[in-house]
Amino acid sequence: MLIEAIVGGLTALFTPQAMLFMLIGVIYGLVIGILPGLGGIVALALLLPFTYGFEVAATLALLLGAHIATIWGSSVTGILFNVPGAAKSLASCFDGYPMTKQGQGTRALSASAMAALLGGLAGAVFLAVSIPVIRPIMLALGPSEYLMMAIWGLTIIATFSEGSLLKGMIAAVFGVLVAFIGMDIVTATPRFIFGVDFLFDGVSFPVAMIGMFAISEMMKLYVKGGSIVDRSVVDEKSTVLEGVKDAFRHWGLVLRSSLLGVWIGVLPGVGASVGGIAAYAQAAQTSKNPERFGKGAVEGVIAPDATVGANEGGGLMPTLAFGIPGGEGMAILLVAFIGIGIVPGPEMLTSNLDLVFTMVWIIVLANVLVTVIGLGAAPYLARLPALHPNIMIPLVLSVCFVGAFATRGHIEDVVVAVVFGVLGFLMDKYQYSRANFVIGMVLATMIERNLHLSLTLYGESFLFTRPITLAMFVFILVTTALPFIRSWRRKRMRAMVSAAGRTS
Amino acid sequence: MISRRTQENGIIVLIILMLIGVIVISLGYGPRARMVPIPVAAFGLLLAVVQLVWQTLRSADELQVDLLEVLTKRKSAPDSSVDKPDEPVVPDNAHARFKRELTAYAMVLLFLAMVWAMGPMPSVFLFTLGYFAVSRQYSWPRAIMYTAIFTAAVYAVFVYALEIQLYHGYLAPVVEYFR
Repeated sequence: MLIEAIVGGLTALFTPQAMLFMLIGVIYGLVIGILPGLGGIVALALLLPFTYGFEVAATLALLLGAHIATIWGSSVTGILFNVPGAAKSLASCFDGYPMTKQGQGTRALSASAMAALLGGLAGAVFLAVSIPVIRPIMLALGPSEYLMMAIWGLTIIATFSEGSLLKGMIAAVFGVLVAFIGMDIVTATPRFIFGVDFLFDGVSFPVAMIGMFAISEMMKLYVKGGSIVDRSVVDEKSTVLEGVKDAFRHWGLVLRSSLLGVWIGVLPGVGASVGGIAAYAQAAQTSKNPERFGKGAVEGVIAPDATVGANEGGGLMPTLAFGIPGGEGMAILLVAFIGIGIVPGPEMLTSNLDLVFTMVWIIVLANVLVTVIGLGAAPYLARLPALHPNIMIPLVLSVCFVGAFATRGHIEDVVVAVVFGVLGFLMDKYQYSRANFVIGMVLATMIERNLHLSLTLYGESFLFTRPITLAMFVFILVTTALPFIRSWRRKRMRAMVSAAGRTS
Repeated sequence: MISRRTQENGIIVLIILMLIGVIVISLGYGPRARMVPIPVAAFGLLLAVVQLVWQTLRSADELQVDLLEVLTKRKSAPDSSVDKPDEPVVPDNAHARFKRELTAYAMVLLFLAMVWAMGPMPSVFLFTLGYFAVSRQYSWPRAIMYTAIFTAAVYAVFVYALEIQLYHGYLAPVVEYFR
């Protein structure tokens, strides 16, 4: 039966309509992913009206193909311009952009595409084999465990605060507080809106990112007065092959990051944005040379992209098996599934198993297609940052302003984007980490919601009454202390070596 | 020119005032609504005060405080892009940079005002054309041609492909009135 489902799932895709829809979906997803602020969620939402009246496999190919293509599309602008196309690609900027500035853009893009492919394949394999066994694990986790995961996300801030940990933490505090603007989801209290109705819905995350990274980068570029990459100083000297080799050379990191992505995808409501950041943190924490991170380490590109790639397979698992979306993108997919007659639930594993394998094959084929297109386009895309600022600034600012408006259709969002643009420019000037600010914003709602739920469900001492929560708390303490311990050990080793040198 | 230390202190004082404001405002919310914001803001306030004290007491060369460095004696690499703290930076450079910064703010605010008044598409056309013209990147005919192509592409992507209803600006009713 399993073999039949695997073959049946693949043959359902071998129709002209399904193949064409997958190609359209992938190209559409790449374009949308590259536009700042318009990530996978927007791509899927815009496709919803076009999903009725076609073959089920073709519709799935269109939706999933577009969703998967946005992953790499979002990373492209992050790596080339320090402007993540979506929240999930934020972590790719940390090392991808420094690589671009060092003339390693092609390598970064290729490593990113290959890592996303390998992660995507890992996610697909996971989806295929794990559905029957994962249910008890998922049911064991509650809000208190999700709270611990969010807190773990905040503790990784030390990783990003190379210049000043104090300033980095202040930036994160501000990110958390900005996320509280708007209606409190627990008590329905409007907070920090100062009588402005528009702020009831809070600050849109994509809009804030457009301002914080795209607009402020263009302001910086104007002040600096040269292109992002000055080709007279730094030639684009990397190749596609280097990036591909990097992804295979760091196979252990790819595997670890993919497993993390699958795991985070499985957890309802956590989302790929947290996954990318967590992947970057684990890559930095487990690296033998953590000091290279943030300065153009290829591992800093590989880890988040493998995680985000694997996240899709993981995210489909709870969406299909229990009707619980793994993230916002999956929530829109769930709406589309129900619209085309796919009802999530245990019968997906019995009577509709071939449909599950159709999705597994779509993930595999769409990832391959994206990587082929990505590797082919990488050398050309890598030339973009060398454009003269007089061309780049008006074009990027224009797309940012229209993109900010397009996110929700509110003109006020353009104002918000500009406010965050100026804020991002000042933060960069005075070295308050913008990445920490964004991490704070991403995790704030998750922390608050799960804290309230934990207190309500398990009482005030939930930390000690929930063994998994306690274990995760200990894990957080250990991983937070690890960089300090390592640094202390390194220092002690150096002292011992120099002492030995003196005595000899 | 204002020294880097004064600028840094000004920023941190502003942050302290904002965090105090957050705490004061939060006190007006219910116990659950303020359960997270107040501790977070208080923690931020503590960090900001420590930062202020630290950067005031330390010597100018050590203004880039790194707590990791303090706790682990790790030495972070000096950041060459940062101005030296107490020195008023070389007047010519600093002045030119300050002027460019002001122009950058003005440019973004001007674009925002244009979008607010005219809506996104006319603003994209005028801003891009204006930028090309002022920067003398292209001759006028070329600038107009490239701007028109770019605006058409933006329009095609956002309005045709993504079917986004564009805002027509505050001036739209005025234009309608005179029609």
